[in-house]
Amino acid sequence: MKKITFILIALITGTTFAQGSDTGTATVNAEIVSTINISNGTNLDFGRMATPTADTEITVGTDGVRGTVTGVTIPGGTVSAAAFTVNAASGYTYSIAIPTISLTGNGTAMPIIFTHDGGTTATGTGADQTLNVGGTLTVGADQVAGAYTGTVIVTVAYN
Amino acid sequence: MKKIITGLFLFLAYSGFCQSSDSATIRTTASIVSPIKISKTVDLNFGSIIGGYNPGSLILNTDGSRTANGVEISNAVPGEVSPAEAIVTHSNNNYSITLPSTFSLFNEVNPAQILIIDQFTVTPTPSGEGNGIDVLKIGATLNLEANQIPGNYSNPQGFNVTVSYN
Repeated sequence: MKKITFILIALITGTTFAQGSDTGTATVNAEIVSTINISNGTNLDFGRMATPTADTEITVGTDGVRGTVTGVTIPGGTVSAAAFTVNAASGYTYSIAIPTISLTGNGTAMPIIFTHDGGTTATGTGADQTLNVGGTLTVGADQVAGAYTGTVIVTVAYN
Repeated sequence: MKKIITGLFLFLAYSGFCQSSDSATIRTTASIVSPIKISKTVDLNFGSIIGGYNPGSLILNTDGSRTANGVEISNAVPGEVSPAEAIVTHSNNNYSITLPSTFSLFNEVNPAQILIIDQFTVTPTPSGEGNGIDVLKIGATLNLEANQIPGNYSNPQGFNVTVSYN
């Protein structure tokens, strides 16, 4: 009788190990979003102006129109806003950063504060978007005549 | 009559010895363990990742947080992010978990574009619903090549997770 009982136990134990594993399956998903790109833009040009008798701010809007300034003679010249092309993924918001720089030339450097029409938070469309940049240039009293230039780096980044 | 009575006593004695050899203790050790089971409840979703000009990787942790190395992620538009989840019924027995070493995802538009997943991780947590049930949360690392082609990547075959009693 004892021998028969032990054989029975061994059989049950073996059956338990045969059922001792199971496998589950899960799928995986990921979305790769395109990088944000900005192309080199056209120039922001404040045009020509006569030397003022006091510090004077000259503004070019993002629409490329120079604001009227009292007390300064503006003899003309080409005026334009800068235009960049931005490409960001549809639905993704991005920030636009333009540091303040100064134009350098024959005389004292002239500071510029830039403005743009991208808004505080821009949203990508997956297609090219135009970013217009204007600015306000401060021309000093008795500013030395000549051409003044500068370069600014515009940075766009996904939020 | 005397002969008949003697024979009856002998028979009873034999039966008594026969029953005493059965052991109740031995029978109780033959317990049957319920089969271990695993059932997936949530798929593994890495969400949206912004490709980079250089290779990079994204770690999806088992708590659902993401760690980007060399790539960017948008906190504003994370996409659908979830570690995989599965329910394991183990009847309070020790068990092992076997994860794949690598797994491939394919671009749904251009299947020649591949993403490789590796470094799977798992965190088992006892379920509050009852004894012998664990919730497994599974994360992994997604590897991006430089200038990875944008799009949705998936693999409907899925990856296998095997649980076995030790």
